[in-house]
Amino acid sequence: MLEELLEAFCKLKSKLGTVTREDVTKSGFHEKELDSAIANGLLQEEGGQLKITDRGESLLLNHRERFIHDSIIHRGDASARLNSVDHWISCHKIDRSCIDDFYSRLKAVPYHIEELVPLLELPEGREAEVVFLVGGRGLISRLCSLGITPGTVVKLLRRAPMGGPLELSVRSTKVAIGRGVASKVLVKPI
Amino acid sequence: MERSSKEVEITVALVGNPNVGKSSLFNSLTGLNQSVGNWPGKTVEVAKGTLVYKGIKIKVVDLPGTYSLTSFSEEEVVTRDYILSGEADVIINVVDATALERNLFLTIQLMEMNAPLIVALNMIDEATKKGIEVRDDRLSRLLGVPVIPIVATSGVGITELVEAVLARPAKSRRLTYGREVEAYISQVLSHFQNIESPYPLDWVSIKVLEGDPIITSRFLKDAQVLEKINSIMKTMEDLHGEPPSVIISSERYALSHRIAQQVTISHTKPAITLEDRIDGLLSHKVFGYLILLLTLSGVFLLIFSVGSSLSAYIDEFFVWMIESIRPHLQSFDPIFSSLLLDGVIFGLGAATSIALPYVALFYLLLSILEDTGYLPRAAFLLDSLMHKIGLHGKAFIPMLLGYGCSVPACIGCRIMETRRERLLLGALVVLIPCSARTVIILGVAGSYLGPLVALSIYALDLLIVFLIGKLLFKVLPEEPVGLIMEMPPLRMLNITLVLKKTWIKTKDFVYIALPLIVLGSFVVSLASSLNLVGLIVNAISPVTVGLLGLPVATGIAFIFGFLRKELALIMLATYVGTTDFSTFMTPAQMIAFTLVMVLYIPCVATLSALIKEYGLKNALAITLMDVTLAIFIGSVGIRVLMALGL
Ligand SMILES: Nc1nc2c(ncn2[C@@H]2O[C@H](COP(=O)(O)OP(=O)(O)OP(=O)(O)O)[C@@H](O)[C@H]2O)c(=O)[nH]1
Repeated sequence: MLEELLEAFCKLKSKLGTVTREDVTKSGFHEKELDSAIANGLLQEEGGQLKITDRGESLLLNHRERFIHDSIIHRGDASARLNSVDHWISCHKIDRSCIDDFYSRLKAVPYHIEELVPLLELPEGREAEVVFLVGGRGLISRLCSLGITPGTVVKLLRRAPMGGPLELSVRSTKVAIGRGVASKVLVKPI
Repeated sequence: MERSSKEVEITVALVGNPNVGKSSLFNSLTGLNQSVGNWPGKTVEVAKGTLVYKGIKIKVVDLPGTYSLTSFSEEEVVTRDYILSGEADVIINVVDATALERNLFLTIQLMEMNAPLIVALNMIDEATKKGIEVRDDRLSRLLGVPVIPIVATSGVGITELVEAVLARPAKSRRLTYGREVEAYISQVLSHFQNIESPYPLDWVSIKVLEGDPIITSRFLKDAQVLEKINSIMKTMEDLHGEPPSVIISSERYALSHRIAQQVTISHTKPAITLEDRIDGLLSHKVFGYLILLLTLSGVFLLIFSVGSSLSAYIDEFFVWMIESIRPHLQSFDPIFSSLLLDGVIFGLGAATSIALPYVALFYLLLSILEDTGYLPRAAFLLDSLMHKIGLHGKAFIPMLLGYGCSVPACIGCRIMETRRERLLLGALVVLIPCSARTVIILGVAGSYLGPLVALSIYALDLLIVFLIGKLLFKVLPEEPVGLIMEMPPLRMLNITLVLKKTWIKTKDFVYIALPLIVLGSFVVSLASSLNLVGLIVNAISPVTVGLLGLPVATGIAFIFGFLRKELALIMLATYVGTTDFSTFMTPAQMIAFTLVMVLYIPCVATLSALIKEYGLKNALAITLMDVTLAIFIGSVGIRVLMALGL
């Protein structure tokens, strides 16, 4: 399945930054599969590095939508649900890396997607449960070590004006986090 | 056989979250003076001291504060490596009783490493005030390590703590996590059975699961094992939708939450306290900025007004003293008289008139801001402004420190997360006028041209800092790292501590700078009586006179300014023989001179701090940038000012 190869490629890419042929074959794919992905114009090889093409990108998106369709949004009218996922994503201006992570981890999220908002959008004074964190390992590690782990209840105390940071109450301490960071923490308001 | 007391030596290391009172405890234990303040991240260097108790020598090591022991930040690696090295016989984990849940997260990790642990339950006084009671006996039972309640600032419980150290705690044992995570850990462990490791294998397995790059590359050399472990990690990730490191962190936090719940009793219901109200006001959308503006301008106004009048009195006193001694000495030996009076005494006077009013006053006010916990609030409010130059709110703290002295400001840049941010900020803080440069601004531009001119120079400097910041951000582009910062609780001021801290910082200045200044004045008056200075000053006149349009004599200020900025004005005055700068400089020259002095080169101490923090190449690049900038601004400035008819 070429889609699976593309998924694997994206994962490697977010983990390693640059992806070579060996990286892909090492993660359990055949040379032949890789060649056919390149032949189909889904991936490109440039100076030893692999890149995803627009075509590959759109195939991947399609694949992910089907994936959600099959595994998550099995309740009710599937196509209506699918629309609402897209709608949800566009409403909340979630950044690209977030969406990629989101799709691959959606399966294990205990809530329905529409119940979640980025922490950035939580109203002042409201409490919410952290559902998941997206972003680089360093960022996630810093959030976790201050106690912002999935399952934690946080309260938004206030936000600074003019694109300033947010102040939260977490595990009986106060923590300030920047807006960019807050857009990478998805929470379920309580 | 009896051993002499000198041979018995115990090494203890203090480990804990930032801002829990490690340095305060270090000071109570050793009687030394590590810097203390209410903002997370002050201690960046490993500090060492000793204490002798009952004839036993105890070495105390203060490690940088950390929340966790991963390998994502330098502080964490430093602390972790130190603990692993086994150098310390005892690890004292300083824990903030008012934020137990967050603090135990680190305790749990120390126990994973089987560290010989004692928990020092600090800030008991604060906890009591907040109506929180921590059952230390129960905590000790649950963790299986000694727990000693203390108040680091007043010394309560310190003796008991030292006794516990002498009793040498056994190695701690790891607490068990949930069944599922334990199953993953033992799966990994099964691959490590015949591996040589100086570290506990459980800990190695956990770190490998977390994907710790340092441990993984060291212990996972076998490709087959690597593959198996990757598949365990993948299973975890697929099942939970989170990477294993997050799952393990959540697990640790779940454990510390449970323990904290079991050992704390809250006597008062969490209501909105006065502290919360004040905090709300300090970080308020409108009032917060108003208060920030008032605070900062208050600090500078106080320094300007009180500082300069105090400084003038001291100056007058010394002038009076010199002039009343001179007639008596002159008749005795004119050369000796001039060396003593114009060299030594004059230098002493100039130094005290800077040190006492400006330096001490700034540090007094800074200590107040630091200890109340106001600095993180200011950083919170200024985050979005700092983002414009590719940094985040915390950068404000080293910048403010820069108004005192550039050296702690450079070192303070370590509160930034990445090397790139530290370098960027380091290049900026040296452009902030430190207290010595404040003296130049006030002493030249301020006293002859009025406070408005002095203020404009400050404003211009800030503008330059901002523009350079923007420029560097363009040259070194990268997504700015987001702000994640603990906001410590606001505290009542402890006046004794504040005064003590002010004295310690001023003392540094007095001990290091004063002798240099006195020596420098002596050398200049000696050299000028031998007509040596003229040669050097003439040698750099193409820049001073040609480019900058300043009097030849100002060369002396540039030479000595490199040694210490405090020296610049004093040496100039000694050389020219007058403290009235208007006699040999026009207003335009005074402004240009001040600007160049503020920008041109970091002093030797700052330069060495820069080299230490960023390496020789970067330090030289920063210096070169500053010199070019100073000459450029100075030469453009003077021409513009002259065209304006000044
Ligand atoms: N009320 C009270 N305040 C304390 C106690 N211990 C420390 N403090 C205050 O807490 C603040 C932080 O103390 P430090 O000793 O600087 O903390 P640290 O752990 O060394 O901090 P970093 O260097 O940032 O890691 C200071 O304002 C201290 O005065 C205590 O037992 N009771």
